[in-house]
Amino acid sequence: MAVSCKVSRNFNYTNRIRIDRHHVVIRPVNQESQKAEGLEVEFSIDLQDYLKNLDDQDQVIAEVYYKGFYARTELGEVSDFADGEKTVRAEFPNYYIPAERSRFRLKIVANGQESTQGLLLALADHLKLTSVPSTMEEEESESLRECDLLPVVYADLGEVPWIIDWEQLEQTILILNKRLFDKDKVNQPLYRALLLPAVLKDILTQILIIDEYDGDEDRNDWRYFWIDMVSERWMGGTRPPANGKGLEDKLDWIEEAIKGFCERNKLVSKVE
Amino acid sequence: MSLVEVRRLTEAGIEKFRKLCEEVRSQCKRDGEIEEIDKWSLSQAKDLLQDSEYTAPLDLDRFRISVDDEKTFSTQYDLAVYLHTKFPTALRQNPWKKEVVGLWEWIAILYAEQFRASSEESREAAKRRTAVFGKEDIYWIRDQRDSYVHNVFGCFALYATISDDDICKKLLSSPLGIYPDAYRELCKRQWVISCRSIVELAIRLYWDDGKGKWKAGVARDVKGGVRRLCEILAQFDYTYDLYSLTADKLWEMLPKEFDRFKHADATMSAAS
Repeated sequence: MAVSCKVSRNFNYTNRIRIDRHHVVIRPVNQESQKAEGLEVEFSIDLQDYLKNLDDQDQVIAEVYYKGFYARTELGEVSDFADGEKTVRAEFPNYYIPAERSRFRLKIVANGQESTQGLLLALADHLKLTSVPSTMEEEESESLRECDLLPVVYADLGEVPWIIDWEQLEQTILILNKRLFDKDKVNQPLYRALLLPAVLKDILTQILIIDEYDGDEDRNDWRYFWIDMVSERWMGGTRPPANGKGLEDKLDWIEEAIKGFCERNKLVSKVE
Repeated sequence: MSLVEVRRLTEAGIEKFRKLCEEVRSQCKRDGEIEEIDKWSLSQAKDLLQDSEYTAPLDLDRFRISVDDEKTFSTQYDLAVYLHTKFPTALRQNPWKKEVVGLWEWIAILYAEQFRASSEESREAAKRRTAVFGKEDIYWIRDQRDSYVHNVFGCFALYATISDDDICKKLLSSPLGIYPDAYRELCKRQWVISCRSIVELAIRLYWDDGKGKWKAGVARDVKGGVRRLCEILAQFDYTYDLYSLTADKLWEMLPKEFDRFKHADATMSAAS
């Protein structure tokens, strides 16, 4: 087996600053205090560590997204955040996906000279509501459920335990044989340990090897969400090898991802 | 002129209408005569409009709204403008208001005859011709991504989102119920259609001013086509905040594959 070479494919020619997630806390807003329809959340932002590389007039922008859904709002200028941590309310009036299922992005965008106008200076991406529970138990249960990416349906598949339906354009569907699985069983540690790694491997193989999906293309593509989720959650941010790389590099990446997924969710320990 | 007070379908009304559409589609599959299907289905649907069992008054901040049920619209733009003159600001700012569930279906039924392909329909449209209530995707808003092809809500919401009247006229230039592929490609991505500079760029690239319609074949998987534009912009999004860039700037940044759509008469100086 080739030695896995963990080289990130996230080129950063513009020296974009990565804002540490701990410097951005996002909380839900009490429903009674909501001003408008749509989504409202509170951002507590601490930019102290980054101020020396930013200009006062640079813009602070919050975005929320889920699959193809998207909304954004401006939170102010960098100078508004110069005195330490500050909490501001972000309103996304035309966005109706629950905050718990959504991801957030905080951007600092150049807003001074014409030559750099619009340049992304700093970014925190894939942020979640801070109040979303994150114990291991809940992380695990989220690992498949998050997938709305991977809806599960039950059907009689004869002697076949499970299949993946690739025919849907927008997403994949996991079809479990109802003679073998039900909602209770599918949450039992043994079933999960036997099922989930195989399903994940199947999906990643389809995306990276059969489809030769690049991983950095259209953000609305279902495959983008899978690669994004796996890279961030179980590969420490390492993206899959580029298409020019050999097949073995891709297989190694998939294997590492499965390993990361199993370790993170303690699949075997939970059965013991 | 014949004014009728606007109502909305109740939950039961929506279900009734849904079943009617299902029956229409099922009869179409059995090669039923379209004229006949239209005759009985239109009659049944119109009966719903004032039936208190299936509809309720529209209660929008105590506004009572009436529309002319004999009014005809040659384009989606005409319908959007007309409805915007009728509805209060609150609804124009947020067409997703919970209070108006069933409104868009009610209006769709009111003007249903106009969703037939017009006498000047293209050969392609004629081939796709089906019964008035046989076009599934234009009567139901399954989620936000589909919403721009709803035959009433789509044009209403787009007109509310895009403030530039000239751009709106082009995007909504088709007859009611007809959605060119280029329009669908742009509208299904919220981050694309809600960004003024991107929409402006797409119009400059793909709109044929001479013919008053989209250039042929731009929505397919071709070099420099609409899908490719969305992919390229998704890549730019890693480095720039696209909402902070002008259409001129985006135009300059496009790779050579888009040159074929950059006609001499569409230079930025002329466009701006």
